[in-house]
Amino acid sequence: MKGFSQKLALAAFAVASLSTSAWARGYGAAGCGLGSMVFGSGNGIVQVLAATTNGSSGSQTFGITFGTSNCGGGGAAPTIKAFIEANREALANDIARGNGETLNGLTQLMGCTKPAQVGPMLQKSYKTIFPNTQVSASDIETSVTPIVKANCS
Amino acid sequence: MIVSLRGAQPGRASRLARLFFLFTLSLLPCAGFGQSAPPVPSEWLRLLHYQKSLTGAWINDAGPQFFITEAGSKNPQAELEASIAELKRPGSDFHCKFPARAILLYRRDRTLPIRTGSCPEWEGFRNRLNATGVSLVFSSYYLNNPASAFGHSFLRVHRGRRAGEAHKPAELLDTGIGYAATVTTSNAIAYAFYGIFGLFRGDYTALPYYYKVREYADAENRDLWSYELALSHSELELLVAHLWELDRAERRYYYFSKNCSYEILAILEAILDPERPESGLLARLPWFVIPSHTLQSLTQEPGLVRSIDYRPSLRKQLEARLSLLAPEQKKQAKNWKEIASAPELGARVLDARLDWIDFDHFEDLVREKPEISALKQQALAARAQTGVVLQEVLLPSDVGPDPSQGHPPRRVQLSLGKVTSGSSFAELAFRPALQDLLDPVAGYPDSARLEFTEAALRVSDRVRLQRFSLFRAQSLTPISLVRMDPSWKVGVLHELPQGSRIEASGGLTLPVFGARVFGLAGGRLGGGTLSSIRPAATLELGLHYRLGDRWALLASWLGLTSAQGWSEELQVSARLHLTRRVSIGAELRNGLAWQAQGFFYF
Repeated sequence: MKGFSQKLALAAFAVASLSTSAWARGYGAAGCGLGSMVFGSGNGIVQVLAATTNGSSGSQTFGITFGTSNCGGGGAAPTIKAFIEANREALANDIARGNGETLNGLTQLMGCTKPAQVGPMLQKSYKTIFPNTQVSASDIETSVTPIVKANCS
Repeated sequence: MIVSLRGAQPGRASRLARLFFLFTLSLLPCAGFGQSAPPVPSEWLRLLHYQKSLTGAWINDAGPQFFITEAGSKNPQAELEASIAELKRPGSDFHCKFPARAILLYRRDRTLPIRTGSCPEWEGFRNRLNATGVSLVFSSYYLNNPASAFGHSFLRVHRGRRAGEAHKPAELLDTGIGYAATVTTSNAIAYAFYGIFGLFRGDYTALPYYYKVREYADAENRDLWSYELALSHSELELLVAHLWELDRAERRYYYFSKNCSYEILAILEAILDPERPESGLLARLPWFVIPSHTLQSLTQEPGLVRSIDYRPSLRKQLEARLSLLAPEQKKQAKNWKEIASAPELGARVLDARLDWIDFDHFEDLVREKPEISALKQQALAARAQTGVVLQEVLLPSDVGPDPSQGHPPRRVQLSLGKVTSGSSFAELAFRPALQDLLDPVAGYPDSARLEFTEAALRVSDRVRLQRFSLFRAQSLTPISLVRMDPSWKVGVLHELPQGSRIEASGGLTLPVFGARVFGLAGGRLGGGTLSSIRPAATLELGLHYRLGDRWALLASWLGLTSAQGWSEELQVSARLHLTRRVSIGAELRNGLAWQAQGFFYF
């Protein structure tokens, strides 16, 4: 961020002006996944500059108090589905490993504070929870919920 | 006053002086002219983010929604009086729109009526956040990622237990609150211009903390440092109410000065109890601000930081996992593209492999690129199949001290030396930020240079500008099993006797017995004058070595070929760090008999 990158921007402006038209890849308002929420749309030098200088370009933005969003904007606790969507890779890792911080977060959201009991059971069901790479967040929620409920007493 | 001006018989000079005096007076706020209004409480000025202009007037760029009077942005006194009147007015919703101001006013004057009228929106926000504490989070530098050159800072509001919950919620479920520019152009030139002159709007945003973790630690490989603040209950109450008020502010984002670091610190300063022994978070900042200033200002505030937490980046986590493996196992983890070998691998190897796939292809996975997703799925299924649940805590070995322990960013350098032609010189240099390859390493990346506008004046027979660099950056990340990071160097500078130049080169760095041996090939565009600008090709070989935190050595040879022929530049520099603020050094280079250096960081 900051001054350095500004100078970089000025110094590189000739190069930059040639390569700033790559805004075509739009992800728009496509759920709560990292793709739409963090990486945003577009790439190229402006997005690099935006990241460098703490600008947000193209990703969904939330005001500080905008709290009705299901993705957990405005300080709201996220829904289970939104949590799964945003943490999908880390959650798959934790379920395959049978424990981890993201698995703890999910079980807590589901009202269970005994992740050590639940983790190995989710690990055993990995192939049921993630039968293929396209499985949706809702499907993951549907298959995880009964396992958590059954093993949390 | 006009009369007095006429009445005098001034000469031209004194009349000009008088006019100037009157003009200056006219810039002062009205309160300066004899009306003896009570002084505005400093908490009020801080809570509303007022600032003094050069002429001493109050200024505020938070926009009309942030005030209840029209002159509010210039007149804190009038805004204060109107706010008190509003608080007293039955039926007013002032306390819903500006809960922090209402709290502050009530704390100062307990005779004011307490407004508890229903504010569903504000109360909803407060209940959603359910704040029990707050940390300032710094996402650290990783120079091979341009997004992290100077780091970033934001707040993490800790979420408390809800009724019936036995445990405090996981950190991932906390709320991250940041300040960023909202980019409205896709043109890089306009981007630079808008950013410098404050033409982008700055917005505060609140999102679950896991988005920040995934973005910074996983996608961008930046370590996250959390500085938990020891706020009192009343400070925390004021903070949450203040965040609500800030949603009304329309701020402009200035990359140099009013950026994420500055605004986050301004929020904290606004809510700190004035009874604290020292409250000078913003006063310690220079005119331009980078996150390391924020951290150092924060940790200098007595008793403000309760604890410091570290969250490793995906890269550090992968390196820690690999450190548990034998060489043969590392190879198995690395060859994650060979699907056939997966099932019989052990849990630790598969754990490293999973991190490795994430590290190499995080964005591809998020974008659901089919072949990468399939590879990952295959490794995940194999890992689940092992049925092994490991309980170990992963701790990267080379964490080092937290970034607030680093040397202060600004540096003054005094050098004495003699050129080979015989004359002695003294040189004074200043660099506002941040780090070169020989500066103290604690709290900074160990093999990176990132310097912004260094200037050096040399005094010998006369005074001349010896060196001025707009920026110089260099990364010498050694290649490793984890990744073949390229090394590179870029710079725009003016230096005697060669003149001005733009330089860029790239290559590789090898780790050799704890030292870094690097080779860089590239080009320079430069010349003594504008008409003599010429291209040249360069080849540079060098050695960079740090012995603990105290000693640093850099030796390099650079060959340069252009239409003028071949030339070589040799440089050997050594430095000894005496304290966090003081270093001494020596440097030898072409045309220089000797040079001794002293450095002071502040």
